[in-house]
Amino acid sequence: MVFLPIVNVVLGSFGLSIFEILKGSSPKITLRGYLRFLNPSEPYLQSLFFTIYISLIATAISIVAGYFFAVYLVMKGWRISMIFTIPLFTPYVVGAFMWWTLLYPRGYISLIINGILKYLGLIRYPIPLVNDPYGIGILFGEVWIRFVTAVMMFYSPLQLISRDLTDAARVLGASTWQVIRRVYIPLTKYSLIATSAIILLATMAGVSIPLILGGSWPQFLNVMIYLDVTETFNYLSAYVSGVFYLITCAILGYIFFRFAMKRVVMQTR
Amino acid sequence: MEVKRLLVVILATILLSGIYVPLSLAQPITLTKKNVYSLSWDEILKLAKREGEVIWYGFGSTYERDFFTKLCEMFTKKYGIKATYVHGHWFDTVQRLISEKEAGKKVGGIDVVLAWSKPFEMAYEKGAVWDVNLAEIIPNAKGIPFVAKYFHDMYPTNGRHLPILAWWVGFLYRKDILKYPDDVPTSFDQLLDWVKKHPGKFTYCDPNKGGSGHTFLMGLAEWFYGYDKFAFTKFDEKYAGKLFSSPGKYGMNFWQYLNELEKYMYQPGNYPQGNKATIELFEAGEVWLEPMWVSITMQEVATGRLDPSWVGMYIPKPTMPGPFDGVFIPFNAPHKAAALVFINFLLSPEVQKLIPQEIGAYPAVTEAWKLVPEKVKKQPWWPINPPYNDLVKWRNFGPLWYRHADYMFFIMKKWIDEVARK
Amino acid sequence: MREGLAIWDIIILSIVVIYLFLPMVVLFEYAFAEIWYAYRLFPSRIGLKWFTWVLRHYDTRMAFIYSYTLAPLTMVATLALCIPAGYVLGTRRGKLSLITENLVNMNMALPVIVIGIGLLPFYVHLGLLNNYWALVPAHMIGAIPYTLRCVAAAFAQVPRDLEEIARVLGANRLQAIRKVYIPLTWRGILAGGIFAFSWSLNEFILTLLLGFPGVKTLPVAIYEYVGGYYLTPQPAAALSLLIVLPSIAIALFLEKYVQVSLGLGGG
Repeated sequence: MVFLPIVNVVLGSFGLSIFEILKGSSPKITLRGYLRFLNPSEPYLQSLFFTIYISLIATAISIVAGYFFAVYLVMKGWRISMIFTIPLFTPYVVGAFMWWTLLYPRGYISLIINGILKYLGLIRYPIPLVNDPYGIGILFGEVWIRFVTAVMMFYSPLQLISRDLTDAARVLGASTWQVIRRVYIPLTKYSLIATSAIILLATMAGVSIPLILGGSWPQFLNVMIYLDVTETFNYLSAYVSGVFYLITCAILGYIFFRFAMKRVVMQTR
Repeated sequence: MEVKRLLVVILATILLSGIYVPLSLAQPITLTKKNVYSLSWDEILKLAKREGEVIWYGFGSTYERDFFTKLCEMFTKKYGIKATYVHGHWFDTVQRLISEKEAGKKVGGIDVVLAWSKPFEMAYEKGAVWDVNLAEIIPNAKGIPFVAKYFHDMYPTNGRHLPILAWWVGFLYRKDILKYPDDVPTSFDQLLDWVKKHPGKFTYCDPNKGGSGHTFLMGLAEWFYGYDKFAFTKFDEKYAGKLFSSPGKYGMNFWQYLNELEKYMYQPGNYPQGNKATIELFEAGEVWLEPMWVSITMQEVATGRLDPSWVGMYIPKPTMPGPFDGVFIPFNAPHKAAALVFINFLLSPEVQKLIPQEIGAYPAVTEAWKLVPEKVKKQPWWPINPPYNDLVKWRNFGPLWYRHADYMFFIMKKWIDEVARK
Repeated sequence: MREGLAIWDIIILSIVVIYLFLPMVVLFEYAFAEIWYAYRLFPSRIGLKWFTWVLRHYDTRMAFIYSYTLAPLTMVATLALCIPAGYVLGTRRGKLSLITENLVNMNMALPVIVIGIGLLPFYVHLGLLNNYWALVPAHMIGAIPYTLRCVAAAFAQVPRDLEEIARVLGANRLQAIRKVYIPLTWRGILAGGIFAFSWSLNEFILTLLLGFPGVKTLPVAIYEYVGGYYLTPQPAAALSLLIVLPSIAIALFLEKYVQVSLGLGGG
């Protein structure tokens, strides 16, 4: 079940269809889709890079902010209330649209941020925070959801670290930052890497947020796929883009898990 | 003895054939593309009543969905044939039909499909459309402008697709700040000067994210190079590339013009993503002029987002093209006769006259405009400038321009490279 | 370590709370705004118009039923698959398990619409379109990677010796699982189940493509208001509140009475 769609996508990128093969009609393999994708004057490559780039930034922000917030909670001895997870319960489409209303030129956040920047004399005209070419809107929306996921995923392993270790470190004169660097991070390395991987993949694959919060150019690759399919019925490009997604994610996944495997082996259980 | 038996046999045969023949005549005829042209409308109506049901797949905003559902209820009440409306998306519906055609499914579950040019073209080319000239069979189709009956966005439909309404894009402007005709560009010729005088007050929707954008660009292109370059010509990619790179007005080519326009637009380079985002900028007071669908304008006032005292609408010269959206019958519709009766109902005056007030679109049947109540016609989202304020005059005397689907998609794709990426 | 709230705490907490909840505030505003001209900061007239509007449609009401029945079904089916798989992956962290994890994660990496167009031909040929039960596997596809990770991590945290001890004391594998593992891992399993539940509740692209048109879930109903070309956020907001508020209620209930903290194991 899990592999069928992948197989269909890979075949489809060459212009083949499983059903036509089964029915016995001669398959016509075409590389047209690939040539188009790899052509630098076509938008696909730039879109792929933009997707990776923004996803990396969103992941980095979510992981760093999420990790530190989780550490903060653990140090304070507070628990996470379930209310905190509301962003996860809101349907993505609606969440994305709510962010749009907050970030468009008359939205609350746009008014506040542009107001502050103008007051500080840093800008003369309000800067666009959504549907913009830098992906700022996408970042706001993505981090909103991924931050919560990150905190949730870091909290338990952090909490499991015995208090004695941190107390001992403090007794030996460690500052908070040193406690984090020397006690928390090494003991939660696996969690850090695995969570980063999950969040990166999820950000790259999500389509509602970039669709609603992204700009005319550059666009996320999966938004281009969505438009290719629903507007011009251009399946070939969609399948090819899908294959590149698979390849990119496989590469990123491999890099991450290579690290993870090392850590797992080195960690004594 | 044998004579008696023979007589019995002969009598039985006569009697039985007496029963058999009327029975065979009473067999319901299945409507095929061969016999449909020879049946009278009454016979079709009778067949429809026997079929007893019709299923309509549509798409659109929540107002359109409510309106279409109401129409189904009206139909059920009038004919006693149960009409069901299913609100979906044209993409999925056509996907399903194409898959059914490829799988050889002879009897499907959809009788009438609301679709515009691109999905209709997809379905038609894959053989998923019932290959019958609806324009000839359906009586109420008479009132539709001739070209719209046989072409949709200049794609030849051969009557297999019949329009039931027409959406239109006009220039939405701040009636409370700008006066028509002095303060607004009454013609596309004046647009560039206007944006230079009012920088940051004009925008248009990303053409790949909303119809108001790509319809506007189509209209702009038809003005820029002349309607004759597009009117019902066959699309050729190389020719299109050459045309759009050649100078049109102001010594610029189309893309140069758009890039020049961009410099004076609202947040240059940042195009609102979708019709809603575009009109939201207008509602918030950020822009004063933009191309926008009449229907969406109406619906934004109805949902309380747009202040009606701000709403002014006109159509710039030479004109704006517009899509006549309509319906087709799938190849495997289970209730074809009922579908025909239903489409006829959609084109009837009682339905056509409701279209403007319920969803802010124009009826396909021109004369129905005369039946629309005056207070509806006076609403601020209808274009005020003649001949557009009188649909009958407009349709009969022009200018009535259409969009060319292939050129429009070409513009949409190229726009990303030539305008958005620069 | 429980100090009083210092000024730093207030600042940090406020930023986090505002960032997380501001969209909810707007959601409420839209849901109750009968008239809200865009140039105004706040609605000028509020009421329940959108709630009645949304509940008027039969298929929207059915969407509640479909969503809240598909979600538990998906959760149960996914857990049924992931508990044994998680046991294997969690207790034997060999190369094979890492490869399997990678392959499963690949599905997470694919944009859902690509999976959708990959699945569509199969569903059409098998006649599974517009079929309630056929949607369960479609929902599971997205849920499995997350749930499997949670469950496997939970199993991985149990000390290996415990199973051996149980075996030595005469338990067979099934009893070992029941009496040793489950009491120690039920939190991780529950968390995995919650992921599957919320994934199914949120899933809409595959449901839109494959369940169309008869099986409409809540996200599909919402998408009708805010997806594509036609955006009417007010009914969408009202409908969303009707989803979000019960979910919050369930979450708070779980927290208070079942004492579920979000134990997600080692990541």
